[in-house]
Amino acid sequence: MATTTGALALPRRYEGGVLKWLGTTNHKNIGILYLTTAFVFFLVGGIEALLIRVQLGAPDNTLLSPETYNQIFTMHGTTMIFLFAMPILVGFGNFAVPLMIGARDMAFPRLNALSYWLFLFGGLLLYSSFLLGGAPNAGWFAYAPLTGTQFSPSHGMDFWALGIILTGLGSTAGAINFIVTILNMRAPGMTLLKMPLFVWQMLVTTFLILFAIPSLTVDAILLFLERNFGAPFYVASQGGDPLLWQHLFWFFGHPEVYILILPAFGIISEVIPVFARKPIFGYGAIVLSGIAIGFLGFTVWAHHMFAVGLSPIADAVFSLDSVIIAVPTSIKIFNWIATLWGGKINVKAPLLFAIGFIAMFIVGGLSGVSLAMVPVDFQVEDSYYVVAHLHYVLFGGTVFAIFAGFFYWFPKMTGRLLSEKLGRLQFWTMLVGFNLTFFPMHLLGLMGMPRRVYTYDAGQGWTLPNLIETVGAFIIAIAIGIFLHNFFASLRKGQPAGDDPWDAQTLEWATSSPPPAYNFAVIPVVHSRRPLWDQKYPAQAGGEPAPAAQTPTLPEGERPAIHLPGGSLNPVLLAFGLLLAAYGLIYTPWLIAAGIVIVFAGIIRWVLERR
Amino acid sequence: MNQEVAPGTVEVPSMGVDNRKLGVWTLLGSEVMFFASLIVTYIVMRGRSVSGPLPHEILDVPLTGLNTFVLICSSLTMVTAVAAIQRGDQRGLRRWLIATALLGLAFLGGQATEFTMLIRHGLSLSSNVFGATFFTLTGFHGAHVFAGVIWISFVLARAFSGAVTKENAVVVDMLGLYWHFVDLVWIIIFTVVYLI
Amino acid sequence: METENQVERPHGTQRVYIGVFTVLAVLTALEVAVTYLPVPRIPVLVPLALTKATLVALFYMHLKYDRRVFSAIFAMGLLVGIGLILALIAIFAPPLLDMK
Repeated sequence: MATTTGALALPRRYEGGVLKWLGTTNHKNIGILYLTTAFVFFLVGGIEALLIRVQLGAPDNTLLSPETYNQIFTMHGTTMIFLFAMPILVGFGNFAVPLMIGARDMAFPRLNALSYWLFLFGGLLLYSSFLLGGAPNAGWFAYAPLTGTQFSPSHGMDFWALGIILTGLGSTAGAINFIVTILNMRAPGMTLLKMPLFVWQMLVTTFLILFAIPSLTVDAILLFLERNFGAPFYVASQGGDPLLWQHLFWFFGHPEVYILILPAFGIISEVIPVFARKPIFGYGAIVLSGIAIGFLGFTVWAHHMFAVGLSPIADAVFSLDSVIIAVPTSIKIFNWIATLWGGKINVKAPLLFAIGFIAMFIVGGLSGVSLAMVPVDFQVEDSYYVVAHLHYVLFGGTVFAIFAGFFYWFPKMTGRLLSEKLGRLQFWTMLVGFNLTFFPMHLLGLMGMPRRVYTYDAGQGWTLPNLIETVGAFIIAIAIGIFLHNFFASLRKGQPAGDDPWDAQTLEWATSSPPPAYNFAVIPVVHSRRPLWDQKYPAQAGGEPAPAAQTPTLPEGERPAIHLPGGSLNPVLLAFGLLLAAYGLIYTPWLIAAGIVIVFAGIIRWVLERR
Repeated sequence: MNQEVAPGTVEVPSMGVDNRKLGVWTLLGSEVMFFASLIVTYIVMRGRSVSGPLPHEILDVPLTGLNTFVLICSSLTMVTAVAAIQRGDQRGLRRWLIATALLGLAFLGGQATEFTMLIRHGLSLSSNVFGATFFTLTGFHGAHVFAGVIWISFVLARAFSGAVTKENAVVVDMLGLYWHFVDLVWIIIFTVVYLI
Repeated sequence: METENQVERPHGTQRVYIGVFTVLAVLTALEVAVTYLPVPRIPVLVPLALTKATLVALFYMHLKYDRRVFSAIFAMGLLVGIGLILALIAIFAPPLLDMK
């Protein structure tokens, strides 16, 4: 039985350097891996966005050829959704959820690591396509028949399909881990209705991942079989149906957007009460609305397909459901505003980003409800109006929430505060840049500018808005630059944070910053929704000091006897085997065989490993 | 002070179940959706082939019915194996796991025979929509059976070394859940593809 | 660690398992027979298949005796999956209704 000695000492082999990170199975380290890797992909996707904006900054521009442009906007969307937004939210989840529920790690630490490596390798597989004949170029949604071999002869779409399958496996493994952890590893006394709201939203999100990703995986498999074995699933002339692709894709794709926003809702639900110094207003309503959104999210997918020729009844049903789903979403917004109302507001960067989130998400929600109206959608389908909507909810929403999360949890992860001044500068710059970039797109869409075009003619009234949007995009870039500077400078010499810099309410703030490897020396017993708050302010809780919710201090010099599993290289090995097999599916069966051998070796070593 | 559990270093499962068993059920939830997507593809593509062998021309229902029976037998042997180790009967575990694996292999043999026969009749992934949807659906199911046989081998190897006992019977329970699920999926596939 | 592994829970006996097996085998034979008889297929075969599947889930997979959380998760997956199938059948319906 290995015991920990000293701070963060891994009890086994992987003490430091590259091996430590290759072999880590600790949820905090894995969370940090996710956050940093996903942020790098964010920068790459951002560069792709800037290329798009420069190309569109003037009519008849010649920076990017049509073929290149198609690859750039496809990779921009694919990167931002699959390689940035999903993983970064999982990264926050990985870091915070076990701490928030009083656990020592996730339920399956090695599986957790495997999820990360599948994400990284899936992303690398996707990007290697640029060097291997061309990146995927049929949009992030890859509609058939454009994706068949006739119209997409390079291997780009094969890389897309396999990358989607690999990252999808990682996501499914992650979903299993989160569900088991949240359901089965909560601290004593923490009933489901006492869990922090971020944990609740992660629970709903991971159920969405569990049930939605398989539809996408099957779609990608069918596409790969069509392209490489002539299976005519989407080939109309042979009896197939391109619409099958769309249905299976959007059956995943719509829950996907809730996967991208529910954790963000969770972050906002944590930040607002802390900086309003009040309990969240309507905890139960936020829980129920999250579940409602999760469930309804599976019933609206064909609102992405209003214009394909569905029957009027089908259109009406999906339209109705899409409007209904605005109700639980609005409930959350009212609850956040009600939480701020009458609170002792502590204006700090996390709160600014949270309020920015609410404002921008409302705009995106309104354009979304308008799109749910079929006649409106018929007019603006595939125009920049839709681009405006999706960026208001995904950037104005998810990305603002991500920065709120960064400013909120960076101190817990690193022990230092990010600069508040730079945070505010970034916030305002980003807010201005974001709105300059995406607000005119509503108008451009109404004026008829289609999506995914590599250029446009002058003299249509589109030139000035596009130029403004390009300027706005560079202002966003400046804001991101400010963040990067803030990040690196604060890592080195940021103000020390202490355990609880925000006077917060939940269990992660009861540990040191950063927390010890084992999180809690003694698993806390929980009695309320704000265990740390009641511990600090027992008068508010009704006079009596609450029973210890935080780690009681041990006698000096004594170390807790806790068994921590050491690291393991088997997850990265297994993921690597799958990566090889993926390349093999494109190039040669020998690589498939090699990959399978490595996968088998990894599994056997995994099963036999002493932990 | 409500301290029915002394704060300690050992976590008590908040849902009162084994993590691994909950994990397998969660995995099965995902697999339900995976097979539902494949099944719905088969269903909506029914009758859309413009050429090539059609289902009622070449599918052998009685033979596949027999194969279905083989898989059902394997579920019985599997549940018997799990019950054995839950009683602590290690010999019974080994015996019934071997039986299950053999029945699983027999099912796969039956599938291989059938596939060969169908291919000789001109059915393939690229022959027509029926071929594409048929081989994809039954192929992935077969792959799941194959993975199950491999999983059985792993557990069997550990059983032979004495590492599987009444205390950690959950590892066999997990395998059993997966195996029965694969049988359950086949029950649906048999009806949708061969009978209706 | 109190889990449902250690606690004595009610469970099926070998007799129950064999009984379920017998029913499954008989139903399978019935299903094959239906394809040779002038009987409407979908209304007969779908309930038969669902019955078999339910028996496997309840008894072989122990859902009848185990904690409800397992049934809940499985049921959620089934709900979404069956919903997908029914919805797409409804949307793609016209050609399907022309089938034998």
